[in-house]
Amino acid sequence: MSDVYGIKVSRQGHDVKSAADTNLSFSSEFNTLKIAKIIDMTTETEVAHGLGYIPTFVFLRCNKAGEYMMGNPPYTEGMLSSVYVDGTNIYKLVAAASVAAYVVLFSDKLDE
Amino acid sequence: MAYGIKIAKPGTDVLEETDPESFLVHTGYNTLKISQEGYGTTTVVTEVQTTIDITHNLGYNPVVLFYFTHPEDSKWHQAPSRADINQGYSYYMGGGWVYKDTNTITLKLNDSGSAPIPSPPGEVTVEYKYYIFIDPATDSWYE
Repeated sequence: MSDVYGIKVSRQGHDVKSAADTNLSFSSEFNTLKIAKIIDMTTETEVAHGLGYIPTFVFLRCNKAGEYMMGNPPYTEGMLSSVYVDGTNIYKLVAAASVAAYVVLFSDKLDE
Repeated sequence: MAYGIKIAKPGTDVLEETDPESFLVHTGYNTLKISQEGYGTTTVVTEVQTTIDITHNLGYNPVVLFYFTHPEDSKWHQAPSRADINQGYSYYMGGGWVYKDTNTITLKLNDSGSAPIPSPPGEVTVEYKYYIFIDPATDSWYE
């Protein structure tokens, strides 16, 4: 029996048997980030995530103009705030006006 | 002909639903696929930028995620960003990354703070984690 196994789905117009990895919409050969939780931090500065590990995360937040962007905005648009995590909590530190923020937490750990 | 894999959220008819947000898996949409990931620790010295080259050999510029800790409390920040006294720390720590070439990314950790944002007191240890995805950062998948 072959030791090659798994699931692949190619992008439309590409033969799944010969498609480059970049033309696969899904492949069980590669790990993916799996969403554990999405937390609204808009009115919070500290939230217990309850995951029991340090999660990989991405966050969307508003700049001073109220526009959503991923990560920390440039200084002139309100950089003096941040979202970060540890094994217990998500933190939002705000040095200026309160900002809206949504944090996506994944099942994948940061410290390994 | 339609093909692929779709798994709908509970209470959703997988055959009738069209909103991609109602699916847990939908191969009609691309998925970020991890090509390579790594965790490590490194030292950052006052007034010296630490750089770490990561070879991926993909031949193009991939999507990247990079995280680092501030040594003062070991909490994790997503790069590009900086953590400094404006956010409750006593000294500056910044992180970012660049495409060195189409086969290499360079992670950057720096302490280039200047008054009133001081650099770390000497040499500090920083943890870092990166993900490099199969997916090109400049692909136009849906055009």
